[in-house]
Amino acid sequence: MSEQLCQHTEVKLSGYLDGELTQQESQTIYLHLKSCERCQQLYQELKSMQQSVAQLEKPTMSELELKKIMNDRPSRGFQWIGWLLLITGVSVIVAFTAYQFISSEGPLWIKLTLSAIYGGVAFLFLTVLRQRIIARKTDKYKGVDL
Amino acid sequence: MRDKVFQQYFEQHSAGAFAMAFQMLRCREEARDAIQDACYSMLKLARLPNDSTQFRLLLFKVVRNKAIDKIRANKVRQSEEFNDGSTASEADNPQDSLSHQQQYQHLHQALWQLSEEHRDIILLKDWQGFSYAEIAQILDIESGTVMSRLHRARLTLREKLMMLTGDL
Repeated sequence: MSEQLCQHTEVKLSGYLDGELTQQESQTIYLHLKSCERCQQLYQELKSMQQSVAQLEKPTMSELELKKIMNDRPSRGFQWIGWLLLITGVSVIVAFTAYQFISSEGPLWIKLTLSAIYGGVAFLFLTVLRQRIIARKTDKYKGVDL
Repeated sequence: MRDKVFQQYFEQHSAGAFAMAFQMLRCREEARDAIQDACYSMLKLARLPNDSTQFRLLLFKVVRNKAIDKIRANKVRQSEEFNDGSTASEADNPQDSLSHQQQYQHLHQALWQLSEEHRDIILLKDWQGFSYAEIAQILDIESGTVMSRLHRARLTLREKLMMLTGDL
């Protein structure tokens, strides 16, 4: 059997062993193996080695360990409560400050100008926040690099 | 709902992932920590895979990355022996069992003599039973690379085994 054919077969022997070749490719390898003793021997050796590796013992976690991991995880619920408290607190302060500002003495045009500036900053912040949230929800590559 | 599905899949696949982490880190505690870190990281994801195979794939990928982080952080690889028994215990014939044990010991030794790259790909395929496409995803390599790398790894393992058994 020609050296070249053996070389061609050898490269694909693992693919053949794992059933990862196309039908045509595996047919070629199958036929070659039938006629080439050397490749057949290599194939048998790889096969038995594969079976031995498959039978290697897998160390396991005890059920207790698994349970501990499952119960130890940080609760998402607490995170939500934290955010809710923070947002409520900030809202109350903002509302109170706004009320103080509006009911305080001073010319109307200054109040309006300052309100426009604060309102503008808040609006820009919300726009950026919205964009970031949309990106976070739709980015399919998010979390790939964990 | 989400938690229930997570728990079900996690329980289903964590054993295999633990075996991989243990094989990489060779330390029980470190392996358990890697699983725990992976569990937290996955819970933080906005969306989790909703079928078992995809979940397993992601779990292995995350656990593998966590294990690599740990290896980088404290170089624990040399600390504990991975081989703490073999599967040959059920053999009837004591002599058979002995030769089996020796065979497995050789296999372990040969595996540890391989490079990380080669050992990982052999174990992912033959020990954990992933397909080429899945291995490509877990290892972040081209799927075309998997077959050639795996084949080279197997040839190297065969060589090491031959040297250990004195066939060469």
